[in-house]
Amino acid sequence: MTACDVNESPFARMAGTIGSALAAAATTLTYAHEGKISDNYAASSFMEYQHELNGTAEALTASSDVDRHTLQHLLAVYIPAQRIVDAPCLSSSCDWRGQVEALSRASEAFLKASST
Amino acid sequence: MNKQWLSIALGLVTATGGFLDAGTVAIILLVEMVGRFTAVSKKTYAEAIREDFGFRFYLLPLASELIAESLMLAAELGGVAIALSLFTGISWHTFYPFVALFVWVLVWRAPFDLIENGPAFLGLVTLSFLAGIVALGGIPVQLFPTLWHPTFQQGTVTDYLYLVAAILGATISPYLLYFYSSGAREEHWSGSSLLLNRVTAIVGMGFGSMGSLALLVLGALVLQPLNISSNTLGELGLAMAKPFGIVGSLLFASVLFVTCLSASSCWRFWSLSSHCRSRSLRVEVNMARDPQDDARSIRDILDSQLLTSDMLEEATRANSQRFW
Repeated sequence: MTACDVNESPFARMAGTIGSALAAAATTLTYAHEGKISDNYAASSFMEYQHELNGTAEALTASSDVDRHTLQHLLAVYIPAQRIVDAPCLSSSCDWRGQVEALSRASEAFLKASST
Repeated sequence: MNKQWLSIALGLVTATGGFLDAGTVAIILLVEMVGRFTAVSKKTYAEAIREDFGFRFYLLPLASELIAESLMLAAELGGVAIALSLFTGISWHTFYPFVALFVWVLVWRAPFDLIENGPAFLGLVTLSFLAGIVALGGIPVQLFPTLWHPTFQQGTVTDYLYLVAAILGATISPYLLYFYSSGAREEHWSGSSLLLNRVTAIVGMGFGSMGSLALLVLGALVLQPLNISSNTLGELGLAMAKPFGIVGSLLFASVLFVTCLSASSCWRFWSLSSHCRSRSLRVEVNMARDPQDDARSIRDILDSQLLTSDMLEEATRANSQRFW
């Protein structure tokens, strides 16, 4: 623990929160298809993730303490991930594995950005 | 020398706090003291504050607790609504007003024993958290040093301190002391109940803490490796889903439902004339035909925290005129 770094920067905090939410979304979707949680449980959880991520893209764009290149990369992985959170594939008829992959990829990007 | 004792004391506090959660130790001590006080003096906690310090002083803790507990009540009702949402897949916003109505009906219509013992019995479901840890192979050895030497990620000290404040605030809830004190009066505790009081304080509060710690350990075992920081309640249930599947996630939702419902019910007891007090006093009113007893009983009913001092004086005067 260092005395100097008491607070995270607003961007690091936001990126960490988004990364965690997307990781949770990926796990929820995986567990739903592996039969570890019910569809109702998954649907309810995704409603919360939607609420948590609401307005994030705008906040990211407005963020001043991040360079343009990083921001563009994050937005590129975030936008498809947000679409998945808004409409997760809870039936077996769609490509849920692809959705999990996209969510995990976005989560990793945000967690990496939060720690740099 | 003093410095040495201080460092030893701090070491002990850190170790104990990490091991059992400092808030739990504090609430055990407070609950034990309040129960002992009520058993010996035959006065509830609220009654004693009002009588010894005056009603005007009493308004200070009353107002501050009313504000703090009202905020907590909103969160507890939300917890019940989220639990129902996890069961049904319907938004918790839809359930919220119905939950509020249900809690209100429960407090005013359900018998005290049901509200006191029902959640206590159903709360045993929290034992499933311990079962979850066992099913995952037990507590890993590397987790133990974090009890006395927690590690912080860079820049997360304020988050950690916020969490400490939240845990202490949630554990040491004033309404619990009022509720426990009223319960002791309700059960007519006396000097012979002191052992029971001590056991109840230690076992009861310790059990609650064990459930919290078990959930923390489950989170560390399952969620931390997945980089999930549990910003929503549904995420916490994933920790139970890993060892037990659907049953585990629904057990988590059940615990959430039971604990939040019982907490919100207890709060209502405290805030709205503490049903447990009025129930026992209704019995007293019915049984006591001695005018002095009636006067005492009616005065005690007016112990309700929502009544003003003017109303109290007016009611006592009217009561005196009626009987004397």
